[in-house]
Amino acid sequence: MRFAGEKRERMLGLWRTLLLGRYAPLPSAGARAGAVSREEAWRPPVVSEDALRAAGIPVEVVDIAALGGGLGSFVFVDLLRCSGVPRESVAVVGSERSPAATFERNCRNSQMTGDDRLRSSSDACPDNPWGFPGYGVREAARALRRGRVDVAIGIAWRLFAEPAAAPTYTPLVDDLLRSVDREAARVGWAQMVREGRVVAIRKTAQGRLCVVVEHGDAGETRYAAVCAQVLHLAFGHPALQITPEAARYRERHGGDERLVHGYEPHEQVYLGLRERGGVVVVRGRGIVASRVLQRLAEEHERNPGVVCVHLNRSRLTGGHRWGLTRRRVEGEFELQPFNWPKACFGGTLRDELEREPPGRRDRLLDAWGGSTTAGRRGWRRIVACGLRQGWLRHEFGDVRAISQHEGHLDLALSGGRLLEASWLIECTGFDEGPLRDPVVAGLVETYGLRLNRRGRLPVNDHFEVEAMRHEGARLYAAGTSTLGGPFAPVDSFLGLQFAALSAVDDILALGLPGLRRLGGLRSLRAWWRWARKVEP
Amino acid sequence: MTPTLRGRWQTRLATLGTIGAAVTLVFALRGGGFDGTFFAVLAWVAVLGVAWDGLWIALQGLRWDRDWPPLFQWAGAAVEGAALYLWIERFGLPGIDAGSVSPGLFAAHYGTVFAAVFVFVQGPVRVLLPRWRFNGGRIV
Repeated sequence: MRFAGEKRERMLGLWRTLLLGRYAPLPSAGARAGAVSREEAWRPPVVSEDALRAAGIPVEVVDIAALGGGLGSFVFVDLLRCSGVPRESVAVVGSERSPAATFERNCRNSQMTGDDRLRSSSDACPDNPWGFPGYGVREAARALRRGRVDVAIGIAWRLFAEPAAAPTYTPLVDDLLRSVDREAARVGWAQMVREGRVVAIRKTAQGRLCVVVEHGDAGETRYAAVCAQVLHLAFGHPALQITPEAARYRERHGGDERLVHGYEPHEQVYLGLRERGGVVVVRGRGIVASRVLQRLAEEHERNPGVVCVHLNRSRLTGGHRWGLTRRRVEGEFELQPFNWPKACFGGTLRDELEREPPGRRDRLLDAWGGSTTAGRRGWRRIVACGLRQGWLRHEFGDVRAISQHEGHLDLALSGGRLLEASWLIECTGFDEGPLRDPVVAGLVETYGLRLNRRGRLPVNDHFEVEAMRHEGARLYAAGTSTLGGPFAPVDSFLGLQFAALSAVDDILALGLPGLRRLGGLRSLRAWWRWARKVEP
Repeated sequence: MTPTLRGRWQTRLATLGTIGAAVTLVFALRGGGFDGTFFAVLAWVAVLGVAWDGLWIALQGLRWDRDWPPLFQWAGAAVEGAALYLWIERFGLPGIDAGSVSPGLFAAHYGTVFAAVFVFVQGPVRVLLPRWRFNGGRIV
């Protein structure tokens, strides 16, 4: 287990501190005499909805509640609405009103503008459960409407020949954001959102699952509870992955802006480089490292004094292997169109993983996964040119320690080498362990859930956390917290859509009002309403 | 597309049995009468396709992504069509006499059926079968 032992205890301790410290009891003026305090009301594993009310916590009962409020929740709720569930039956609990807010922030911080292209296929459409028409068709149609026949033909060719004879088509950031906003308005997202922060998840004596939500400003903390027969958990990435040496440096030097994470705002790095030049070290081999290198190449054009060191633990001698095939390697990156081989999204590899017993899925995930980037011509050219011109170089070795020295960062590498840098950008992705999220940590502790071998939530083939079944109530999960289950690309738009379809198909058995299986003519009717921008 | 073998078979049979049959009916009724040869050709495309799919899925396994891009679908269809025509032209098949099919009509019929199926499979099928794309083309 990834968070075994001391680390797990530390996280649980953090959760306790959060719950018992930060959310310390406030005067419960509304509570009846003799009622327990608000925190006491949700402390037991099975809480009484009446006790919550008695403690002054308003309780709302709905059929389905989606927790997270990001794209994972959005894809699930969108499918429910297209499958006939009325808006009034659904509550969405999240800290942001827009479902794409966190996604957009991550894009911006990792140097993506609205005109950049995502690493996602044309038919991976969070705004459309069918994936038709895909973003490629929509972009081509828009180009045609604007008289740009050449652009439309170019897109059509890419969709036709990708990836064999043309680069893989990927959608524009702004197209995706606009489409999500449009769909959110269509399905009544704003009316379903209960803005707030999830504090705890509990079973209730009334046979439902319940989520306690904190909301309000610094002046007054208020709590509310939403109880539902179905809870859907999609909290997203719990934290940034900070390497231990970077964490130690930050502990010592606090807010030193010379060491940044690729998903943190770090415009100051580029402005500093533009003004003064300097050596910037980039760590990581994923898509963010590629995008950061692109930005650094732009800064090098402005100031030739910008030098970049791409630092990795070891040289890539070959790509991952599976069967007779091997992933392509170029410029110290492993290349593939998306973050998993395409057949993981709905082909032979997906079947293979689903067939494999849960205890043996690690082997497949290790072989197909790992850090990769898209083989975009522009990025490959940047690396090749940078290496040739000398402003980019590769270094290899473990970073033992990071320290400050005369206004620079000193990176002590294995073998006694020292690397001096003006800036360090860690493109090391996210820490995906669900226990980094205090709510999930609390859930695991309260109900004694056993995480899977990847240290993630144990879900069955319908993405249900079976251990949380409570009378007729069920808990489902989606996204990064479910890796190690039946589906590899859980952290992708298609993965969210697959998880939503699997979960909703399972929920059908509960007979919730309005919910019908999406398929055949019913699906056609729902799609037609989508196409006409009519409420489901 | 990232079809599985069962997905290839099911999608092939289902689309040829519906869209392919509709297109073939138009060809069969061409000229006022009814020419059953077109339906025989369609049936052989379906039957022999089951074997072809075995070859395509084996080649697909040689790709890291285990995908089958649209360009490959067209190339595969061209190979299947050319092989079928040459066989019919030389040896014939049950329901089709050797040398009885003109190359122009065969190309028009076969090409139209494939193009109609291709367009359907590229998108509209997902509207009727939302799980199809995740199931490697399997319908059941």
